[in-house]
Amino acid sequence: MSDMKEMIVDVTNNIFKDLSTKETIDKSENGEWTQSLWDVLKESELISIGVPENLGGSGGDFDDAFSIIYLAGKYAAPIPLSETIIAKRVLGELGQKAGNDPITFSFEEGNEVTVKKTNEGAVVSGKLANVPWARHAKNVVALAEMEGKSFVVQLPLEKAEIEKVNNIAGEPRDTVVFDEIAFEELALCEVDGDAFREKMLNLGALSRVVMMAGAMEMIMDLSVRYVSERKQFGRFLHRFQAVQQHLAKLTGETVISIAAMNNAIAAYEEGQFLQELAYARIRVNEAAEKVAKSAHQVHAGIGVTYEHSLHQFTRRLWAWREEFGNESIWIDKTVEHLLDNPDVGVWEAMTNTNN
Amino acid sequence: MKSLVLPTVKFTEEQNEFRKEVRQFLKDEEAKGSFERTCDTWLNGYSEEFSKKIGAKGLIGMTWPKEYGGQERSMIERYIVTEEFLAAGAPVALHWIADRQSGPLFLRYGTEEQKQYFLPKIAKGECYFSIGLSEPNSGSDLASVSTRAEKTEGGWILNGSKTWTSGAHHSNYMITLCRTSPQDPNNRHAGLSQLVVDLSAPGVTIQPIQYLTGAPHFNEVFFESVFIPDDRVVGEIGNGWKQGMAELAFERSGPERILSTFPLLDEMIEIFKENKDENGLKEATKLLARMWSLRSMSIGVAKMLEEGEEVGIIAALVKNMGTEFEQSVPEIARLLISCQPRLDGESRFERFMAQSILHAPGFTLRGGTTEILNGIVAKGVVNS
Repeated sequence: MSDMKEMIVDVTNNIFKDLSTKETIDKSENGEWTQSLWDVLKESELISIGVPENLGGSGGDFDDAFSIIYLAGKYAAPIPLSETIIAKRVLGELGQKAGNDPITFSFEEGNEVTVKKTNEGAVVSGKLANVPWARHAKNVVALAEMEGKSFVVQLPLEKAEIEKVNNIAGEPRDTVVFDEIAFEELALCEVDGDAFREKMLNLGALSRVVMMAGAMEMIMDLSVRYVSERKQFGRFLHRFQAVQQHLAKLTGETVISIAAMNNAIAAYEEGQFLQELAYARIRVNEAAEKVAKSAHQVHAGIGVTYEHSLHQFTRRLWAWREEFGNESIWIDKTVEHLLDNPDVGVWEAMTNTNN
Repeated sequence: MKSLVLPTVKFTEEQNEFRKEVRQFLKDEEAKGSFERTCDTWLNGYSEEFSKKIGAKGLIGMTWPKEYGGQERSMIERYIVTEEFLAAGAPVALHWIADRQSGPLFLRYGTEEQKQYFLPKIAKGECYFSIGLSEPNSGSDLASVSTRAEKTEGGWILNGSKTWTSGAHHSNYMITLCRTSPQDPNNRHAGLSQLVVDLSAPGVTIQPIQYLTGAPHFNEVFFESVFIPDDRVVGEIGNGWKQGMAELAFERSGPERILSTFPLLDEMIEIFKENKDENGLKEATKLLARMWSLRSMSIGVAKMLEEGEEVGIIAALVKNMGTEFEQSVPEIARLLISCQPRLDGESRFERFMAQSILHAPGFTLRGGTTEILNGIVAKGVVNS
């Protein structure tokens, strides 16, 4: 953790509190782009946290970056912040500059474009599905195949055909088609395609773990506030033992999700994190169901309507838990790992102390 | 509650080496036949010889000052040791309570004489304690205890009884919560004190209560005009409630709330790996994800305890979520590997299943029931 983390978190929290309100999120769901929020974050240099300064970023480490992404989840920020921060970081590692406009990325299995060199530059073809915020983003980072080799490419979305698709939280997850689009100039960077795809999917999964933990914090805040203000049978709701059981569950699931998230981030920074990411992903997804259920139960009718903001966060939990691989995918990966390493005991693996 | 965020602990290389040393010691002991691996050993695995051996290795009271027989090691190192013992299924019940809470209670509230008298013996693994809280008419409502001590010359005369006292039939002493002044309806927590009762003193009767496995575990302990000298009062007269609650933070958040059925989980996964049973491993992975997350939480609390932070509510959460996890292991295992659970079964799996199923109901009772603790959590969250 860097020294500036506390300050960054404070500043970002205040920005989101002011600009990522229930009304803003409602408008975003109706197709409006939240330029004001983006501009403030850009001016505060918060969209390139975790990118070294010599690569055009604002400095700070990945832990700082994830603390911003956590807040984006907590406030359901209607902008591609996790996508931009991660893309900028990765492009920075590849020595590419990325500008200050929203960037998204797309590395799902099957999402790839082909690039053909021409005398005038290059022609790009291919379809990318489920691309977060594509309609509002300037560029998309994706894998490109050219002459049998794999490259990372940053493609301007201007000329692409974009079919608007939303996830169940009303967030853009668009289909992007490049139909023989010609570009005069394309920055291509050769990579090991499979390894790079996996890296991006892992980072994506980690970002969703982090955003979900953030959303849970908000859901818990909303629930505690609601049961402390509303009375039935002449008593505040929190006085009822049945409600207390829900509150305890909400608290426990939120605390364990944040703990899992932080340990996964710490493992990521150590460079060895597949087991930790899998466990965090599986457990946080499990928590999502419980948190959403208990929160809706204590809010009753109002929580399932646009009169209240609860559903903005619970719908995000339900959407985000599917992105970059749900539990089944991560369980399969873990099982494969267990079978590949039959001699490593469960306890040795859990404590990272193989003999 | 101050914050939902717990510290993230990264074990150092030295700590990992230390963990491996402890693990090797346990492997060697198991190979020598010093103990047989079982589930739920922290409340049911009794071995005086083994407790003394652990004491001789400096692994009891290891965070205490050297002048009292301790090793001045960190809470995190103690955490490593307790985890390794539980994961290995080694018998640690005899000294567990003394190491976990009676010792720390003396360190915090005890007199110099008490520290010098009790702590070195506890650290050697030869002095065992029980906790005297519940009574026949005081279970979850602990403040209603009616065991009382009356002042007499040079000490106190204790009358009443305690129940569900784990291991009293093996223990030397009991830290007994009792009333030292009449109940005050306006302050239910006032007038309670903690006395060290020598369980071999005249007037103390220990009546074992058969646990549902058939083995002795719980006891009812009767006090008939037992004389407790003044120097066996812990802390201040009338401050017993507050002192007792401080103990509970240590009691509720440790690895023993997560790992009581770990030997079963471990055995199950080894069987799956051997059979290349992918379906079994998928179910086991969900359990591992829960365990890893709980462990992250529990270690975070250990770090907070080390830094002297308030952990009451988070400790209650670890206890509730951890014990539910422990309970779920045999219920999931039974559907994946068919067997007839038997305490004297031929395979370890049969035995671990029987031990886990039969001990499981206690997991969510001992140290405060889930429902009562959930109430404490909810109140804490609403008041913050």
